[in-house]
Amino acid sequence: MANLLKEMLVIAGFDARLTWLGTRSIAYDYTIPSVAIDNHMICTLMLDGKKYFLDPTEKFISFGDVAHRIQNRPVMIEDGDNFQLATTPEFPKERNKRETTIKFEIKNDKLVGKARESYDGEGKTYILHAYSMIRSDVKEDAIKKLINRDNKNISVSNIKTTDFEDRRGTISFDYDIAVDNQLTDLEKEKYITIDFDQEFKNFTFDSTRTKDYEYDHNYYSVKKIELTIPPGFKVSHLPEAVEKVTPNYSFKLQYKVEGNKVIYSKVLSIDNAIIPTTDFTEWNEAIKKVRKAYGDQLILTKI
Amino acid sequence: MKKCAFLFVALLITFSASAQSRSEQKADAEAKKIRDEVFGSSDKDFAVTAVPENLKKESAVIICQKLTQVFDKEGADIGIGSNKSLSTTETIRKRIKLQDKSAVEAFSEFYFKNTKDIGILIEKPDGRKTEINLKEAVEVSDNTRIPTIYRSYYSFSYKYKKIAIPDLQPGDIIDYFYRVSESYFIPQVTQFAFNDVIVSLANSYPTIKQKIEFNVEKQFYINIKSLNGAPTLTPENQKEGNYSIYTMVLENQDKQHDERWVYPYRSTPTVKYQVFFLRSEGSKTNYAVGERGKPKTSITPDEAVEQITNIYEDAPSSLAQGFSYELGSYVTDKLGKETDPVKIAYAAYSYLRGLISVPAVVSMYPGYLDQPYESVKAALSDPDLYGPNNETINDEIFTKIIARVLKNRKIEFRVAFAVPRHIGNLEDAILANEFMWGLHVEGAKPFFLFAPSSGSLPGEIDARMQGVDAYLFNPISKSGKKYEIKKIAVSSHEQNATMEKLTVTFDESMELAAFNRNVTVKGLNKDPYYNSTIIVNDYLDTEMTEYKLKPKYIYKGKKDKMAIIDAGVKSAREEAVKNRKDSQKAELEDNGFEIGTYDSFDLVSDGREKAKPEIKFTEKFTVKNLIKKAGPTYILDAGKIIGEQLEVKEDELKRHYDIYMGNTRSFNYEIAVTIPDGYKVEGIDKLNKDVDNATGFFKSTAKVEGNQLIITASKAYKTIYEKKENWPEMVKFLDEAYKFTQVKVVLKKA
Repeated sequence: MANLLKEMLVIAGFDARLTWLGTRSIAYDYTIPSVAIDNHMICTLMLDGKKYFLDPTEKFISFGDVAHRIQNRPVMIEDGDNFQLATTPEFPKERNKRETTIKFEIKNDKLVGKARESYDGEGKTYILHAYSMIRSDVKEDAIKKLINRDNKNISVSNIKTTDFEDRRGTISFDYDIAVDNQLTDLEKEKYITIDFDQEFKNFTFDSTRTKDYEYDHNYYSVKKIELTIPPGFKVSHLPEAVEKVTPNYSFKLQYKVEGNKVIYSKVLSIDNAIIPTTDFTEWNEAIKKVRKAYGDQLILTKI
Repeated sequence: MKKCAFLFVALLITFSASAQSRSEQKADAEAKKIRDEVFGSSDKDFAVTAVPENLKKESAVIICQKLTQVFDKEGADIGIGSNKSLSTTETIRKRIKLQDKSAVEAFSEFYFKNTKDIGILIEKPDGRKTEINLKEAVEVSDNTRIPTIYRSYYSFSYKYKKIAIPDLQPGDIIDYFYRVSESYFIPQVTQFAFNDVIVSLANSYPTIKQKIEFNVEKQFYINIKSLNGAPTLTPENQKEGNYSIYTMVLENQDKQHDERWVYPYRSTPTVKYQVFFLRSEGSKTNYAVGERGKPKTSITPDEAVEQITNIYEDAPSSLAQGFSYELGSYVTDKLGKETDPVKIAYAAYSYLRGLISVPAVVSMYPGYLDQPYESVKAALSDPDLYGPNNETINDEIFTKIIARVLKNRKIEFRVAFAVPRHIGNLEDAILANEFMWGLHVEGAKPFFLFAPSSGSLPGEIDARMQGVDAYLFNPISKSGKKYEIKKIAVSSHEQNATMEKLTVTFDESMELAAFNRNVTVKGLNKDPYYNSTIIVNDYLDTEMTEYKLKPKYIYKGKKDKMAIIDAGVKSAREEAVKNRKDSQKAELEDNGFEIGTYDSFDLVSDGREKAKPEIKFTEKFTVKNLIKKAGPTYILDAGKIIGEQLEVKEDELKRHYDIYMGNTRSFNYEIAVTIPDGYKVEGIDKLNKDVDNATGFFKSTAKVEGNQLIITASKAYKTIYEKKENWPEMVKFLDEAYKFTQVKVVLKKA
């Protein structure tokens, strides 16, 4: 593919070069003179003094973006009879941002409202690729299942998406949402689970694991949910906030009341795609707190 | 001399090599001729490129599909070479338009039967055609993973190959065919049945036109039945030389939809066919055939009874005779001169179940015996090493064996045969092996006996046979073949019931819930528990003693070597008991429980005896996260205690096919949750539910008694069949059960 792309760019008049590299699974760099350094080939476009690292095997990636598996990797670029050494760029976790905002109100024991969900980076390319491979006659259902997490309690409708043929920027979904079975109504009190996504809830490391844990890529998820407090009710209990920030990961969950709204925000990140064994104990403790926070309920009491 | 010999050998090798090359060339030329013949056909349906507007959003569309099946014979009708072999040849041609990337992906890895007679053409939207070179094709090791669209109708023993097809794009058309043949050597055989075929005409993709053509040698007989809107054969048969040609055409067939509880042969256009050969017209046969040259489209009750009678009166195999003798001895030992037909039939049934299902066969490769025990130990725990005592007792042999014993004991009975539900109705039977055999034991309370499954009890009817009509006839009676049609009863949901009694208590921290679960299972609900919860070890010794079974080793060696095997078998059995706890834990986790610890399992009854017909067991385990802190209170996921319930998702609400379920069934729960000291429970009203209609129900109640929250719940599937129009009624009680699992109650300081 790199050969093909290079030839097409050269025919179009661009300076494009074959480029060798090893993906993240390769532990070596070019200080070791061995063919074992490389397991992949891409194409480097030299344009206006900049190098653009183009991997045509990376489906649906946009121009200028670089997949996690080949970020921050030493590369060897062909240069006539010589070669150039360079390093591919590394993008921070924000590249893979998944952002969800929902505005809820309570209607007949359901949380009803409008939502927007957007994906960038690895999440975006994954969705675009998966969507392209799904049979045409079930694409609509597939989108619904992505948005409602295939959860029977979540109904979505009026779905509008960005153009999936345009891989620049983020992709997003705007939709109406109704969530059932998240509210226990005792007439004078309402117990509400506001967040139906409970990532990392059971993700702990047991004592037998001896190796670092590697994710497919950096992870960054931002969620904001706004719930309108129904008239005649006040907030009598907000779940405790959780905040754990480390160089490798962070969990932040917070509730606050602003006027007649409860604002819930959640920011989760795996910053470097690796959780080292030295972090396991602290990680497990943090997950306990996160799980407790997920299980805690927002309580509204009749005034 | 040596020089001559060398020259001779050299010439011979050269001759052989060029002879091989010539035969390959001949085969290649023949294959090319067939390709040219197929792709050069004037059939206009295989020239269509456009797809109707209503199918443009489909992933792919089968523009045209044609099956041509030839049934032929070789050799003269009489004399030394008479009818030495029969053959069948299947040619399938398909023209498929790919309309999206999913279809491109699906067909980029192309599977085909390993035959030289194959051609694959790719037609681009601009009309360019490219034939795929199959030289790079590789053999497929696992035939079970071949997508249905590549499979043949008739069962051939060919392996499959696969090849990558490059440069496919949406808009391309794949036009391919293959031809496969099979011959059967029948020098002295008086009657022969080709393999039967049951095929649904609903493909993975919508099909604009489907054509089936049979070329049947004039001496043969063809039985064929079209069901559920499948086309019938064209009324005018053509004759061409020695063949009768029959055709059928189906247009605009919808794709097959993936739904739960479907019997495709009952719900989609389906064709059943089978071709027979009789050496002499009108001779006695075990097949219900019509006239040569005239398709037979139904079997009358008289014909069916005659067919079964002829098979029944065939001399039983020595195998069946041997079993009959052993069975007779067993019944005599057990029951003496007992005359009660129920006791006799039940004893015989249990014995045969033992033969079929008790794994007393240990397959041991000779090489194992020379190895140290430690290295053999792991192999001995492999459950695949153990086979049932006898796998050859099918429904026909089962019937004949028991019939002999009943006859000797002068117990009145009739032979029963019926078509299993998933195939079709009795009156639509047309194939030789469509019927399942059994017995109808007469007496004050007559009952059916069909061949047992691993855990079934006498009187329990296989789910596939419930609700169907059966022919009953008396094989002994000399007064003509009278028959009766009797419906096999459908068991009720009360008969196929599971009862779970659970007590739940919480530790001081409220983080762990301790469960004590008592389970009782009866009727057909027991089936899934055999080979999972109930392991062979539970009944092996008892039943081997009861039925006087001895371990049978495929290989036998010296005593010291056999001692190694015996020790290994013992160890394997102990392992299986330990593994059961792990598998029970996994089962609970699959059912939605977050298991903390799995503490104990006790089997009370394995449900294999008529006197103790229920499976009963108790288990103790702890569950995490059933209770969560919410400010000053606790939230208990009370509904989750009954485990996960079926979720009917939005895309399942529209139903394309009628609903066929295995059996009626019910699941019942009695739960006592100990309310932690100092707390009271609120919000239990949401646990009261009641949806009850003709298809099923879900009912639940909740109340507080002292310091306990008492919950009852019941879910029942009342029927085994519903029209698709009744699906919304089923959804009502299914959804109610799901909603129950979502109910939470609040524990507050008292």
